[in-house]
Amino acid sequence: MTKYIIKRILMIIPIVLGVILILFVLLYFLAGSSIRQMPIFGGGDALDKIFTFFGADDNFITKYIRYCYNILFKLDFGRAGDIGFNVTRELKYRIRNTLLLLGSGVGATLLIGIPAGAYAAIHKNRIGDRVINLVTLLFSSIPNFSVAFFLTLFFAVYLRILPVLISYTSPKAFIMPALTIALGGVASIARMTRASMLETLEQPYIIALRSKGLREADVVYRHAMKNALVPIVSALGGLVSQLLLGTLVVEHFFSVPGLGSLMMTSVGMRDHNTILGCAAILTIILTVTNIITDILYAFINPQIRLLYAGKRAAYREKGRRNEDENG
Amino acid sequence: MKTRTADNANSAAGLRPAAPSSIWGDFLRKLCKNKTAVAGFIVFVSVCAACALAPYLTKWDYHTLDTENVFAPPSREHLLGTEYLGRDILARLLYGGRVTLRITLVSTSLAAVIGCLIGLAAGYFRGRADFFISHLLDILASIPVFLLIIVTETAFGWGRGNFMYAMAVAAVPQFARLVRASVMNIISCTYIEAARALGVRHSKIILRHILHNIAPPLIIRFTSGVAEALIICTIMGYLGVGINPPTPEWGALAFVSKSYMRSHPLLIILSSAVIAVCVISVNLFGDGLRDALDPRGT
Amino acid sequence: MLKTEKLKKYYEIRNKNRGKSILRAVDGVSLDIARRETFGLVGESGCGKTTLGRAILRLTEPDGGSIIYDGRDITHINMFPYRSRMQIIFQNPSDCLDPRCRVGDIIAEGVAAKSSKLSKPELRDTVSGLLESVRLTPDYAYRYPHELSGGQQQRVGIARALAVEPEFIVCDEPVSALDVSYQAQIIELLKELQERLGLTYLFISHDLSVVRYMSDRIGVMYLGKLVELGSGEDVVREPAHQYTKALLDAIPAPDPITARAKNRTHTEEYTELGIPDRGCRYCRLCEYAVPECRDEEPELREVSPGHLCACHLL
Repeated sequence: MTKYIIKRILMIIPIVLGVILILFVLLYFLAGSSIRQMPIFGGGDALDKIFTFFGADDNFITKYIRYCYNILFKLDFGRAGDIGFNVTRELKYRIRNTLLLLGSGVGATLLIGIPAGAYAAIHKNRIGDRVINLVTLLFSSIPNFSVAFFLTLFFAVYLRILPVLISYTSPKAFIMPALTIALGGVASIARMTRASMLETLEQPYIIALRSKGLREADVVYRHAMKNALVPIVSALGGLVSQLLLGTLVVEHFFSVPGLGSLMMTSVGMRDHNTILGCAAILTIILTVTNIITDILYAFINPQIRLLYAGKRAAYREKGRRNEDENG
Repeated sequence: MKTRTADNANSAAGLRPAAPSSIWGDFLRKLCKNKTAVAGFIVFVSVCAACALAPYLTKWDYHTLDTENVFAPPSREHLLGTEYLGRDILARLLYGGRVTLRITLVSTSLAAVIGCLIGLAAGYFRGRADFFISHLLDILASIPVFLLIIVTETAFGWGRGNFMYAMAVAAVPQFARLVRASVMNIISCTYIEAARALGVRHSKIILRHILHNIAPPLIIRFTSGVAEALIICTIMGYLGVGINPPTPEWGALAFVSKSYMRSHPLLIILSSAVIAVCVISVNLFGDGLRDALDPRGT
Repeated sequence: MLKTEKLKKYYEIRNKNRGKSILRAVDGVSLDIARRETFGLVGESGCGKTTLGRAILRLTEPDGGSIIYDGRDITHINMFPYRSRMQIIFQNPSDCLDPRCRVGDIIAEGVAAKSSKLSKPELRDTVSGLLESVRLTPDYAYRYPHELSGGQQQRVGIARALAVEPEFIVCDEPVSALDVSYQAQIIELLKELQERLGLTYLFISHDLSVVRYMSDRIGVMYLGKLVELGSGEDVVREPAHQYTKALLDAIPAPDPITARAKNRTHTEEYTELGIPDRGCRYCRLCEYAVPECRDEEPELREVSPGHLCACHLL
């Protein structure tokens, strides 16, 4: 298991380097050196010297290798537009905001989506199921900015119970952003939970539990739920990538200084280093969540756990299972 | 409609069906019975038609300023009122729909075609090309879609056309991976081997067996792709990526009206509603397609 | 009519822990099949009989040896001219018919592959004729595979194989996936078609009782090797190889009183051990194994006229 985890963690590096390479090719080859395109007044030898000093005119491969080397060994993302502010410091400051938003969004999605899906599954084809299906579909069909707008109008302007500006001291301030981010993902999570729950409830062992005379609540919440949630865990990685877009919108709407808003500003300035830095961080966030979900999935799914546990453990497990079946 | 022609082309051999029991016919009949799906289809098509016929539906231009009539309420002159520069809201919505819907539909179709070709090549012929393609697709799929769009657009220069291509590029991996997986799944079936044993040529096998069998998941993916693209396109418009101010786009319309949302929320409500109606109708249609194409359904 | 010489097919297997290894699925099989004969190939699942059948049709490319058909080496030539002469019937009838094609189209595909010049009514007549020859009415042409029962699907599979008017058919476990009641019908149909059309069969099955009923000659395969070869009578009445005896013991006798006590059991664990590097492949399970068996691989030798067996003990 440790071997598996280490292998997965080491896989982050080639993926991130690959992503940076693709983005690097796109930005540097096609768009050209960013600093040369900036409208800088003045000029002459002094400016050229500065550019040479910061390596703004180096060729593509040198730049790529230097960039990767700096990230990998010095955690240095370079300077904005090659000569401007320190990107690393800026990123450090903004990661926290983005992660907070994203995390609260994911939490809200699961908190709303899973119970809704489970409820819909238990009340299959009844009115509750239909309502949940329709409402989640409706919310997933409205773009995030509209959701943010309606929430603000209702909670902040009309009811005046929630603040519009994010502050770290009051968790209340995170309700609207979290809801805004979550509503994009709730539909898919609820649907997935419903489908997986329905499938689980049809399994023979559930029928056996029922025929044993177990209370329905115990059957559903103690036995079925645990197994029905396994596929949801594997969907978490995709969910995070889906919610990133919402985070971008929320940063914009509620004026949060996060990675997304930094990227949008630097896109306007054609500041490649900052774009790349944001992209790299976002990709790392995504890859890490993917790895965490994979490991989680492996932990809760005995079939995969065995695959990596080695042959001896597999035989032991097999023996134990046989005993279970016979005894 | 597309499916029907595919069926005709494929009932090669000139065997006219005695009973009209064809799989595509069944599918269409099942789909027509599903009222929500039909409603979704009709609503989406009529929104598209309204936007396409914009010049005939409203006498206003989307860029004509009427500074006397700023924030006018709905009237006979301006059916939905005017916005902060006195431009007609209905006209801006209709012309905005032209931009949004064209970008959405064209980019998704492009992505479907390109993704289909890539996936077919990788899945059918395998080998080293497949190794390269599938790894590239895996990496591309690990980049968030909006990142890919933003970077591609920065690289090729901003503009409506490039935005469309950037959206297509970002959606290609999903289609290609789907097609590759389904093709590999189908190839492992023995009927492909049977066709090879009969001496049927590669081109015929691809056309007749493989394309026919990957069509259902592809159609479903296409509808959900359109819904996703609609959301992404409007959000990008809202954030100001790709579409420049004078051009109306549903997301961009929402953005400019954000500043006036407390006093004059009409435009943002309308643009949100229009987007939501389109996405919902596409989603409902997609759900109907999924149910109708599901072989387990009765 | 058909002859294979030392035909080989190896697969590379990637194990999680041990790296690559090579599975010798078919390892130097030589057999010959006469015209209008049924050659039965029997062996447990995973012994390479299906791979052999597919390698003969070059649906998987063999890695060594040669295939000689009608006196011509077809191991490396373009197969298109031979596709219409050699056909295959598959094990799983529901998997071998395209779920989105009508039965008529499936059969017509074969007819068109043989002669593309037929007009539409001619094609329709040919398809009806083929359906009738497998005891299905012509209106089945308009049905879809999922509307048919397993036995009917297998008939369609046979009709498709017949569509190109072949001389030689590989029957790859044609009845294993069917209910017992359909098994008999399909076997009778295959026999009748053979008599009427003068077909040659390579009949593959894991069920010795079915093979015994169908075949003129029987070959017994074990882990990629042919261990015994002879006329049906010889192999069943006087089995020479220990493995063949074990197979015969495994047939459940219809009468419980005469049922012999089963003294040999084959468990999956033994197959998982893999193929020994040298020596007889059966030596670990054989109760008469002598040291020679572990060191030297036995060749096929004649034990009586026309009856060959690969065993050191004979």
